[in-house]
Amino acid sequence: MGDGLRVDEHIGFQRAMWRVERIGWALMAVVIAAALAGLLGPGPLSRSTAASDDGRLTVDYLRFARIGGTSELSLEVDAALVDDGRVDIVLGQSFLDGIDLRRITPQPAAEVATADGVRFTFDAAEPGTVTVSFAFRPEAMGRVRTLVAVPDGPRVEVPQLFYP
Amino acid sequence: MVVRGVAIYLIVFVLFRLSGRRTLAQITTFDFVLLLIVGEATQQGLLGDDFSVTNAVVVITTLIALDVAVSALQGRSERVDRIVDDVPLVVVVDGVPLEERLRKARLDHDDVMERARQTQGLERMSQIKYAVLERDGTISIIPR
Repeated sequence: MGDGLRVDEHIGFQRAMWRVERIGWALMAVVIAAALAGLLGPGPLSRSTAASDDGRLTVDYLRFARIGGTSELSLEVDAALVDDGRVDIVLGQSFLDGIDLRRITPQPAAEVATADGVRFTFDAAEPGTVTVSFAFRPEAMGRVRTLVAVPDGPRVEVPQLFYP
Repeated sequence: MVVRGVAIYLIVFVLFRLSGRRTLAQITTFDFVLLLIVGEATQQGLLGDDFSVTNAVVVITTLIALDVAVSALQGRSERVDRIVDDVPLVVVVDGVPLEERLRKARLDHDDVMERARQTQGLERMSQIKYAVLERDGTISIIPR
């Protein structure tokens, strides 16, 4: 450019870079919007409920969670499934393999390994809907279909995606 | 951990590069604070829940090796060099500001004149022969 100035200009590259920048800004906006909406973790679009066919077992869960973040499965079990003051819940082994189970509320009276996964037995004092929650941290990334079931009773498969 | 290091390196590189050249080249007080926050936010992702010395060594080694590899590639390929370090841009010719380029580079006349005063003691745009936005984000002024 000009007589004296020797600048290694690449105006074609510069213009391409400006276009890429613009696209990049749009992508940043998309990422922020997705995060606010809950597509990258907790948020309104992430919160979901699954129910068994007969409606006697419902599970509140987060569709999208992150490795190391906290997530929760919140179960409501119909009173009819309480047998002799106890109710059993099975969580699928493939789910349990990929998470760190942090806290179960209320504390189960027993935990037994079965072919499907782990069977948790809870004491249910009074007749009425039983609410149980499992707080956990995902440890492996990817999709899981979590089995939540009452033995010989209703079962729910909960689709979840764990981000890295 | 090596994978984490590579992923974070690439993500941070792409984000900084997309933010435009001046964002972190000429550091203002706010940029400095921003840099600290970015560092803080990155740390967890880099180390996970493993705070051992071994992990720190692995992560640091990965990052430095990447840096060496990238600069080696830059030496070999002009294209990579441009992608990583950008290209200089002439923004004033013979006292005439090139408005479209200034706008796209998110600069204005004041930015150019500030540098003209600081480095050359110039008073008016017309005294500038060339102004070049350099790759590191500084503006160099060549007086008439």
